[in-house]
Amino acid sequence: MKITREGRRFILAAVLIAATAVNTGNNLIYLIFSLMLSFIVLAVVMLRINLSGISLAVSIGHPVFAGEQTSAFFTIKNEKKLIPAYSIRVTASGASSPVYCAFIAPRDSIKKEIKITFGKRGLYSYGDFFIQSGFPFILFEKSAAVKVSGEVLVYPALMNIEQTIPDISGREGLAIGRTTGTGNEIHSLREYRYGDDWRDIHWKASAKASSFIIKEYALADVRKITVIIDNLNPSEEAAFEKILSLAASFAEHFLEAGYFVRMLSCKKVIPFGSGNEHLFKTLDILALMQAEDVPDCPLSYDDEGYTILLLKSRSSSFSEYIASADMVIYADSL
Amino acid sequence: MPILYKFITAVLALTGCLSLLLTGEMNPLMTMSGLLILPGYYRFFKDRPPAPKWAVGALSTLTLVVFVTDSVMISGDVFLAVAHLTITFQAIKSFDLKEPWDHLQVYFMSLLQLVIASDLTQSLIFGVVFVVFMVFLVTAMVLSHFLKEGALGRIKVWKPVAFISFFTLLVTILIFILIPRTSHKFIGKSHAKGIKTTGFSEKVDFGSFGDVMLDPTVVMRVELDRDIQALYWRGLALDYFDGNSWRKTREEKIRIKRAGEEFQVEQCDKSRAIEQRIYLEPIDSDIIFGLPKICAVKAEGFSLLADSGKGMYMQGKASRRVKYAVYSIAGDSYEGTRNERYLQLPPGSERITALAGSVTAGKVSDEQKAALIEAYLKNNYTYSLSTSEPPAGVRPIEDFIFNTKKGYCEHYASAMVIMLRSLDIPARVVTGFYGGEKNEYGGYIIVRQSNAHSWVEALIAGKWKRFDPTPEVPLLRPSAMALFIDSMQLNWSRYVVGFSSFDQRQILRGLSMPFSLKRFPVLAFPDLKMLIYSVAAGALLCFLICLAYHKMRIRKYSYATERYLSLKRLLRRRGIRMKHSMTSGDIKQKASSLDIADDLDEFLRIYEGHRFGRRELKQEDREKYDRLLKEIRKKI
Repeated sequence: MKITREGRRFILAAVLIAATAVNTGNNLIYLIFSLMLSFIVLAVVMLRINLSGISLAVSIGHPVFAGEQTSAFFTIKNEKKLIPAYSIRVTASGASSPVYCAFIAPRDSIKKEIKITFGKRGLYSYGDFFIQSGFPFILFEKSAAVKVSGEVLVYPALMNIEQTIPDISGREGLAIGRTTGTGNEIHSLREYRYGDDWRDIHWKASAKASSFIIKEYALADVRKITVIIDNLNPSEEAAFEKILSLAASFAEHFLEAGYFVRMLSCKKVIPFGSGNEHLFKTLDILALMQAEDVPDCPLSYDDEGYTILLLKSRSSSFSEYIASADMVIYADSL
Repeated sequence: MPILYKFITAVLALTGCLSLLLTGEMNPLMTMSGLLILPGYYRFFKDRPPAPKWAVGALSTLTLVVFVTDSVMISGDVFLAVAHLTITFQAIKSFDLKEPWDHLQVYFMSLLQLVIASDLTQSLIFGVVFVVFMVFLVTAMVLSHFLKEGALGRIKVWKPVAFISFFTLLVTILIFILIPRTSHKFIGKSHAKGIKTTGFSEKVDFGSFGDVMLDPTVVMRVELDRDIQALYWRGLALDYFDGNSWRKTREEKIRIKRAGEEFQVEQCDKSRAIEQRIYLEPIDSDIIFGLPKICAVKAEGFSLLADSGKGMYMQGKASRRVKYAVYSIAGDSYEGTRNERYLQLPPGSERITALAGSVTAGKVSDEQKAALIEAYLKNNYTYSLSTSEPPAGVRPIEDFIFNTKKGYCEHYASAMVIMLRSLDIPARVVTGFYGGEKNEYGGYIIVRQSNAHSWVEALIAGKWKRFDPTPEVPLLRPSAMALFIDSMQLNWSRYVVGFSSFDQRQILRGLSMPFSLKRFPVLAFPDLKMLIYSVAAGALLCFLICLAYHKMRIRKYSYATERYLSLKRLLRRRGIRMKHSMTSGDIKQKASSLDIADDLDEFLRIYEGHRFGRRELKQEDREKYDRLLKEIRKKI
């Protein structure tokens, strides 16, 4: 609970009046002091009551990326049976301005739209949304985490890959353009793996084998991208966030271009996959990925397609994979 | 800025100033500046720009100069000068209201004015002003909050204001009762002025009683534990008369020892003694009044002194209302010893001595002589408050006895004392109050300045016996309203102004053992009345609980559903059978006999929209529901 400027002066006045009352022993001054004290007591008690029983439902109809302004709908509900809520402000870290509700009837709710920018990736739930109020007077203000139904998953911020790494399109094996399709020769058949495009299922062979069989094209291996994420050492937080942002951007960039993309990191592996579904699965994992506090974390993987190694710095433990990588990007040099 | 907010600020500023003016202690000249509040707020209401900064600054500086002059020369009291200063500052501020903070300054200034006023008066009027101030301060604080949030005017504030005002009053009372307090003054002196009275100092000028006997100011209120016919509130006994004034011979007063909460004056059987709980207004005297003869005094906050003339005194004059209980042994006489000072005569009393001799001629006993003189004065003299100055060279007492034969108690008592003394009977004049009005509203007696009285005590057969030679004077009875207001004033004095740590202890004692019944309660008539009240209160409580439960049940639904249920209830009361399974169409059909088709159609249409069509419920929809329901109710 915060005391406002007016509150501080009011308390000071109350203290002076209390001193006068004690000095004079005048009951009428005691009465005035009691009035002032009752203001303070009621301000605290009513403020607590006012903020109790308030819940929030957050709904956002589209994916949310860190650092990007988005519209969210806040449904603020007063769950109290008899007491209305007055003058409630709801805010979240990163909200441009709080949502204000002057009055919410008992057991009633109010829906408001808010422009919001989530500064960081991650899962936003209880503890990230706050209700504030100063009702009934202007003496105190209280802010409390509000009970939130639903969570908001914020993906890492997306970068423009072409601008960040200008020579990416010129790299051998990374030419952007849709090459899969009817014109390519089938190289082989294999069992369906998570992330494979449903359109590549060989239905006849699948029927015979009683399991999904996928067509592999002759050029398919060169259209695979492996992104290795350096997620060791949690102390380099800024660089780690930059790497995740870059990884998400690569995923978005290459999956849109029809590539198969996989992500490798310490304790987290996202196998090859393509399409929108794979993109959001990748983003979901990147949104929640934590840095691992281990000195060393060996990765085992088949060297397939193009490999991009994202390192936090030159001293990273993942530097041993530089030799097998086609492209190495240092976060600290971006 | 909404007009309501401006209005509240103006009212608070005026309340603060009014609280000072009502004390009657303000210098009219120094408070003239307060009149500027009216044009100041008029300009504010009309949205005129605030006064230029330089003008406000110059006026403020000038006010400070005036304040110094006031405190040194005009009022001669810094405290009163500060009171005048606050009024002037309120006036200046009314021309300089820009931001919400300026309004808060007005509230703080009003609060300061209220604090100053509380030191200048203890009247019930202060209580009224306080409650008004409290309600408007709550309103102002709530409005300030919504103004700060930019939401003022968007919601109705009267409901929260009413609730908060009620709770503020409740919590204020609770805190007032519980807060630890002192009854002593540490630094400074009180500015509350006592009632100007006369006759209760060690020197009383002859004829000075006349002025106070026209004054209806209440001096004390007394709660008696039984009915007493002759109410002589004894004060001071005067023994020396020089022809122009009565004096009390200087002597050292004896300090009465305190035993617990009581001062034990002499042996006292409490069960037989008359208990008088007295609320004495601050008068310019230190005398403790009570029915003779006082055997014990229960008081807090002062020490008790006594003189040889059975006068009781508190140590120092009280600047505030004093509350004490006196226990008296009923009777009109008590033991005394002969002392030459009660035989002193003013020079040139030979004529009076001769008159006394002729009035009592043939009588032997002192008691008979005293009774004759008393009867003589009562029957041959006229009671009058309008006395004239005696001719040059004639003493006032002789003028009364031999010339005008008109006077009031002081004349009668003085004449009788001199006549008794001239007959070698020790006598003294006693000043105090006689009678009082019984107030039925509070069951207590109001004693006013006009009840001031003097009578005679004569030492007969070793006992001081009371004689009152003044004839009975019919008194005007105040109106019922005046008595009711006075009972409120007593309650104010008793429970607010005079609330003490003793009362706190009593409350705590009561709370810790609320059922300390000494005997099994017998159902008598007053208890039956209590039973009826209890049953009525219980029924009311049950009704309120049911109502709250019903409201809570209804609150479970959304507003639209709640209104729909109200409609169904309304139709059910009109005799239409309602089933839970009935649809809107069924209701329309059932209600077709009533002339409400249009309103009902519209009601059900918007209800279906909200209930099943996921339409958002807006404020105008709520109003529409209410309007339609009202229309339907009116039509059926």
